Amino acid sequence: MLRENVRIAFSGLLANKLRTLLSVLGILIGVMSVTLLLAVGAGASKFVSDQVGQLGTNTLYVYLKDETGTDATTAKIRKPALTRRDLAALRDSARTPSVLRVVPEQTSNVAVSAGRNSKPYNVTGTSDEWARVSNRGVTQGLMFTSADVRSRRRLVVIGRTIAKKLFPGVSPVGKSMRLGSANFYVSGVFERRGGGILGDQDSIIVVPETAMQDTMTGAFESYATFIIQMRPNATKTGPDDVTATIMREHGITDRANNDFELFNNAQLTKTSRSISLVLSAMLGFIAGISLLVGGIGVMNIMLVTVTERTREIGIRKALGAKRWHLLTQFLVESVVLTGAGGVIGATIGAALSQIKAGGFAPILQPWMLLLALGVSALIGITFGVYPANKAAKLRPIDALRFE
Amino acid sequence: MSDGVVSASRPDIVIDVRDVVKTYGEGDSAVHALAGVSLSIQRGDFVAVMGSSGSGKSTLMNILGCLDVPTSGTYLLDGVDAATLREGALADLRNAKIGFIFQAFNLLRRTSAVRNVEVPLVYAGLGRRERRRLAMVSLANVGLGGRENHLPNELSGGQAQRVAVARALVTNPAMVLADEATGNLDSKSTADVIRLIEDLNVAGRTIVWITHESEVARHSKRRVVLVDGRITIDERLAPVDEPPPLWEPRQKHDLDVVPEAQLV
Repeated sequence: MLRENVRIAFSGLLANKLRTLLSVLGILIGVMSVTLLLAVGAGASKFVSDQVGQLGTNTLYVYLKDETGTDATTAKIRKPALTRRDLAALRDSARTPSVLRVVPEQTSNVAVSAGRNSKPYNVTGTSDEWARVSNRGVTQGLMFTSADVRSRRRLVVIGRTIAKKLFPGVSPVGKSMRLGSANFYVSGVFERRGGGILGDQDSIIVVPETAMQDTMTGAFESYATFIIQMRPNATKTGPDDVTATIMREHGITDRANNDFELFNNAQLTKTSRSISLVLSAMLGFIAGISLLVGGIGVMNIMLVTVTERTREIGIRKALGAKRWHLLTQFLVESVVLTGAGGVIGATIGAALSQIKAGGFAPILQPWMLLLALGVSALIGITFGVYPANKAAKLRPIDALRFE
Repeated sequence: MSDGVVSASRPDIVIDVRDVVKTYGEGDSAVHALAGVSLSIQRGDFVAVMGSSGSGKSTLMNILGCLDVPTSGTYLLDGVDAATLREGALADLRNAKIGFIFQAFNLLRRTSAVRNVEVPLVYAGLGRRERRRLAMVSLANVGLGGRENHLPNELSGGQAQRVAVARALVTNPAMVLADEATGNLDSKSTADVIRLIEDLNVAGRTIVWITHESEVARHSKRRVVLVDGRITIDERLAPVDEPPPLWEPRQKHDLDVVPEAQLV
């Protein structure tokens, strides 16, 4: 019986090739987009959490708050800054027990060149521990050492992008480059990190803070950023601990008046995960709508088919067909229609998801294909039931009279 | 007959129609297609139901074939009141007991001759092999052996109607209902179909043939004439237990000779 129904379905569908093709196309596009967008969503999600994960989850950043947000009176009394005293307090394990390491950062925008053409870049002045705390490896040459910082040596470690721009085709290690008005020697090149949601991660220039004071900014007592590495067992208490220490140093009692901000990687990871989850769900939903539209197309075609074949239905009923015979016959037809669209759509979707786009590769998982196919079969049944039932309910005499 | 319960009917009565009324529409615009028809038909009879168009003969055929239900009155088929049967049981009844032959042939499009003949067997629940075997036998019986793979549009009218006859017979029904079965055929094909149906009757099947052609009626054993939804003439032309009046035994395979020119 089922075999007979499948045969009838195919002969019916083949008799109207263009019409069948168009309704299959509707489902095909829907299933293809569901598969593809689910894979893209999963790929994007992994990409984002990988990128954030590179930063290390036990790292905290302390910034000064934007002036616009601060209380005008507090700002007048004491210009907010991240000072050497703050740094000492954070490094003191008696006062801030959760902190393992603190690396201060100062930046300066100077003209950078290794020949004639110079371009302005942000240069970071920091300590030798910067590479370790920022989770950055040095692939060519070496990071400068604490001795280099103490002896105020003019060394620079640069990112890949800078290396490529300034020293095309040659190893930059040992070469000299100009930062502002002074010459620095390239001591190393950071490993590649790639671009992404956080911007180009390879366009960095890092020098000892002492050399920066000597050549670019003059002596400074305060920093732009503290990068704090928390003790592995204190990542939960770390942010509060750091906040309390700096508030004490700055003489602030109410958190609302804080002149600094904390940026937490663990939190970022969590947030970015939930964002990408919502993103995936939305992509899937949009793709689902196109599948729904395809389903409506199938229903429309099935209604036309039932009307066209009213006489056939009458003949079949006269020859002994019961309701369920005709119900299954037309249901099989609509499921064959959506099933064909589903299989082809999933195949194309799977093929397209092998293409890397926007710096990341979509991740195709078996459940996505199963979901897309399952939904297309479900749509075949859902949107096929009404037309099939319409056919099954026809009275034989009315169906036979139909011209 | 008002309570619809099976009442004593003779065992050799296949069709027992009592006071059947069929009305279409309501009120002033109501059309009485059948205005009280009573008719009982014995097993093995060959009845020609005649009447002009609008006389109600097609309505009667639909009721006899369980395709339609009367507005009032009862219809007993093999002693069973059709009104008491549910839709599924009626479908089984049509499948097992009634063979339909329509004026328009009503073959399924894009479906080969043998598959058309198989359709009632599909709904009877037979397996593929058995279906194919019975359908081939039935096609051979109407002289269409060798044409089983032809599509309806590749057959002449006479051949198409013979496929329809094969389909009506494949379930071995007790009764064959023919509705203007030769209405669309030329005289040669008409003669072929009449002979086929005569043969069926000789083999013991009850035939009810709705027609407006007196030529067809001449071959029957009983002639019933409907006028405005009532039976006006009911005359016997030959005894029930004898062959139809004009039937002649003939050579086997007569029908196998079909002029090729008839092929579309």
